[in-house]
Amino acid sequence: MSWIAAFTEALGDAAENVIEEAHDEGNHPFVRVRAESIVEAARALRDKCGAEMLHQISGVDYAEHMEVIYHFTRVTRDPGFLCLKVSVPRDNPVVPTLAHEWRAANWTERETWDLLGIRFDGHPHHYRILLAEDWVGHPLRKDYEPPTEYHGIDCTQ
Amino acid sequence: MSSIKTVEVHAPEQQTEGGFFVSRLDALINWSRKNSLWPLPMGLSCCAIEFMAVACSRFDMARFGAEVARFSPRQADVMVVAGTMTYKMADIVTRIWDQMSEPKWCISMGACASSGGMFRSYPVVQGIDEVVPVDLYISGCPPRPEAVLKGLMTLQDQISEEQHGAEVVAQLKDAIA
Repeated sequence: MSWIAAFTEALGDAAENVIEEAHDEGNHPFVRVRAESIVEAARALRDKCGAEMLHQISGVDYAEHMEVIYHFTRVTRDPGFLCLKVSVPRDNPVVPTLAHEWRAANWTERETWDLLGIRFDGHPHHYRILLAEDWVGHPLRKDYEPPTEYHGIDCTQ
Repeated sequence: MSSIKTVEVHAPEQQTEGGFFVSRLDALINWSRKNSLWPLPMGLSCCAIEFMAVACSRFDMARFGAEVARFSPRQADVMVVAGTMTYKMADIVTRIWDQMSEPKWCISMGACASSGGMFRSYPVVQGIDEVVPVDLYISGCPPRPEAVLKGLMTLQDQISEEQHGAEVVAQLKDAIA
C-alpha cells in the first residue's frame, strides 16, 4: 500500500475535507491538502504513517498562487519520502504553523517567510531569519524589486 | 631592513660605550610597523579557510611578522576581509573597522571581497570598498597562500613608503610664509 493510501485511510472521514488532490504517480508523489488542515494532516502523517522527520519546508511563487511544500522522511519502517503541498492565494498567503508539532518547522518556516513572504499563523518567533531585520520585500517573489540603497550603500552597481 | 639607512659612528671612548646609529624617524616607525602587522581575520566565507593555511606552518605568515592573529579590533593592525560580504554583514564589518585603532590597514582578500565575485544577487555587496577603505586587493577564488603572502609583502612595501608628519611640516611652512 502506498503511503498516500495509508494517509487517506488514517484521516478517515476527515479525508474529504482535508485532501484537495492526491498525486500518486511518478517518482515524487504528493498530497495537496487544504491550508487550514495542514496541522491535522501533518499529525496524521507522523502518528499513523510513520513520518519521523520533517526535513524541509520550502515555498514556490507560481505568480497566480503560492505553494508551501513539506518534505517528510520515513526512516525506520519502509523508508521513503512523503510530501505534502499547500496552495495559498498570493494576496493573502497564510498557513497555520507546524512549529508546535515539529520543532524542525521553526526555522524553515521563518526562512519561507523571509524569502517568500508566506505568513505562518501562530509561529512563536515570526520574524526574518536570513536577511537583515529591516530588509524590504521578499526576494524569491516573482515581482521582487531589489533595493537601490541599503544603509548608505549603493546597491545598483 | 634595507629601507633604514644606518650610519654607525664610533664615539670617543671617554664619552660613550659602544656605538650608535642615526636614522630617519619615518623609516624607523615604518620598519617597526611593517614587521609587526597583527591581522584581524574577518573571515566571511571560504577564503577564511585559505587564510588559515597561510597562518599555519606550511606557509607560515610568522616569517613576515604577521602571525599574531587577533580577534579583537582593538589589538589588530590589518583587517583581512576574506569572503563574501552581505549587506547584513556590512554594518558589522564597518563597525569593527571603526573600532580598530590607527594605524590600520585593510586587505581585501579574494574575488568576493574585492568585487562581489560571482554573486551578483540581492544580498551581496559588490566589493567591500563600498564601505571600508581598502589598501590592497588580492585576486583569486580563493587566492593561493602564496598570493596572500605576496599581498602581505606588498602591503609591507606600501607601509615602508608612508610619510609621517607631512601635515605638520605643511602647517609649519604655512606659518612661516
